Amino acid sequence: MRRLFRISYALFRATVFATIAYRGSFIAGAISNILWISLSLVSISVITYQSSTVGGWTRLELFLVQGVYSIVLGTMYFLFVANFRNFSRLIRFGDLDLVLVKPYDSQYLVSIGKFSLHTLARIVSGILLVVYVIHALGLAPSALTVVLFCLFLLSGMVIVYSIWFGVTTTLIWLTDLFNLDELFVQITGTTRYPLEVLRHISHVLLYVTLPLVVITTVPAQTLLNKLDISLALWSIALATVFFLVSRRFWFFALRSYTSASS
Amino acid sequence: MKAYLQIIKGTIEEYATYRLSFILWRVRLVVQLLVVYFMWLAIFSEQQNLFGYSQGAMLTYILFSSFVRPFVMGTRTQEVAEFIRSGTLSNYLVRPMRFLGFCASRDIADKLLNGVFAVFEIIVLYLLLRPPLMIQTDVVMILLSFLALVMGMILFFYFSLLISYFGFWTPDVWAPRFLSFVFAEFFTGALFPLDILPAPLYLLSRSLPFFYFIYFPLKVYLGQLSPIAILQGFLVGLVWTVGL
Repeated sequence: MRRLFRISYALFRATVFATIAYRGSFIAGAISNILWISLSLVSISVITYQSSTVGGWTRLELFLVQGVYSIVLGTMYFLFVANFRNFSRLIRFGDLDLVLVKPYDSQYLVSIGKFSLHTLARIVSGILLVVYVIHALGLAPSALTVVLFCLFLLSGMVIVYSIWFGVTTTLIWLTDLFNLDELFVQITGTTRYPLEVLRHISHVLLYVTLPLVVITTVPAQTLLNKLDISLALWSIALATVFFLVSRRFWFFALRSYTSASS
Repeated sequence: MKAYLQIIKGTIEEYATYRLSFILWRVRLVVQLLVVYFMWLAIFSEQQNLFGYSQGAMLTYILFSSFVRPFVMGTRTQEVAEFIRSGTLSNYLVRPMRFLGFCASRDIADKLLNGVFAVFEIIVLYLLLRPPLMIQTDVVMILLSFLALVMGMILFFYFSLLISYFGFWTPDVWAPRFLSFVFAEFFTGALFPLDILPAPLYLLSRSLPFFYFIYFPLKVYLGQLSPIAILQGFLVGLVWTVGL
């Protein structure tokens, strides 16, 4: 574990130095992230201006879901997305060889390496939004609620990571595919809305999107003291199963990697 | 002219080579549409009329916005920034054709392909979802909305090209492009009609070029604008086109 932190710290430092070289991009990226969350809040305000609830969720509760979404997706972008986007390049140019010969876990090395520092603005905005909603709704979450909230937040992140990593792994076979991550970004966009909002979707589609929707709905329900135990258990179970499957799938896919450089 | 037709053909062939990527791109757009569609369906399940829109008018707006979007905002001009950054721009400038014509031909190919897929998707979605669509029967309104669509396409072409030209000053064009993307997502009216915004935000949206990308052609199609508002819209849109 110490080694993992040491490597992560070294990679983080390298990203910080690279960011310092392009300060303008960092500032513009951070502003864009804050603007994005602000405009999302305006959209929710507009939608709930005449219709007080959407799918039984009030404006402030929808803000909470938006806050959770920003924390989960912001963390994904901060830690992994730049590396997933680079994965197709690693395959096409045969650079994955360099990763595989390094004396450390290959899944870790392809997942972490380049941090997107500007997305920290999205995470911080999400946290501030959650704190604001707790205050505005007069909620007084107990220590246990906070712990459960963090646990479900973490399980949501594990679900997103596992699916995204699993989808990225398919690039080992589908080398011509370069926009897989864009599709995933769009699909994760469904998690901006609580499960009840999408209840008009046919059952088949609902079960397809269920793993994604629990990512934000369950942590938000925890804070609002409306926790649906079956959904919460689903969230933990899906996180465990998806992570194990994504790891197995990675090692299975590596057997098909033929390298482009040798 | 023949050269430009060859560019269009070549671009379509390029898409055909990476067809799985293109199909995934279309799937992405359908998912985006479905999420917005079901969200509005949930809102209208509790009330029949909201923001001055009936359920039919709102769902027509949402479904057709996904059709108008690829026509207006489907573009290849973002690659111009990469040409500038990598220095390959010179290769295009020495060719015996106008660079703007080259970019426009690439865009036409993109819009043609995306448009064909969008029509097909809307038919499938209509058959699956059976939404209460509002079909415009007034030929004049259909013609005017087509003209507004063409104006939106030209406006967006110059707008996107302008952002790519930032490449002459900075190697990192993604920042202004992402910033404009965030604004465009909100102010084009792709997620909801702009006239449901609070008055100050609506006035702000009217003063931006994004107003003419999706919202204006669709409002003309729905027949919800007065003749003076349509004329005013075309005049301001033309001023933006010339300005950009």
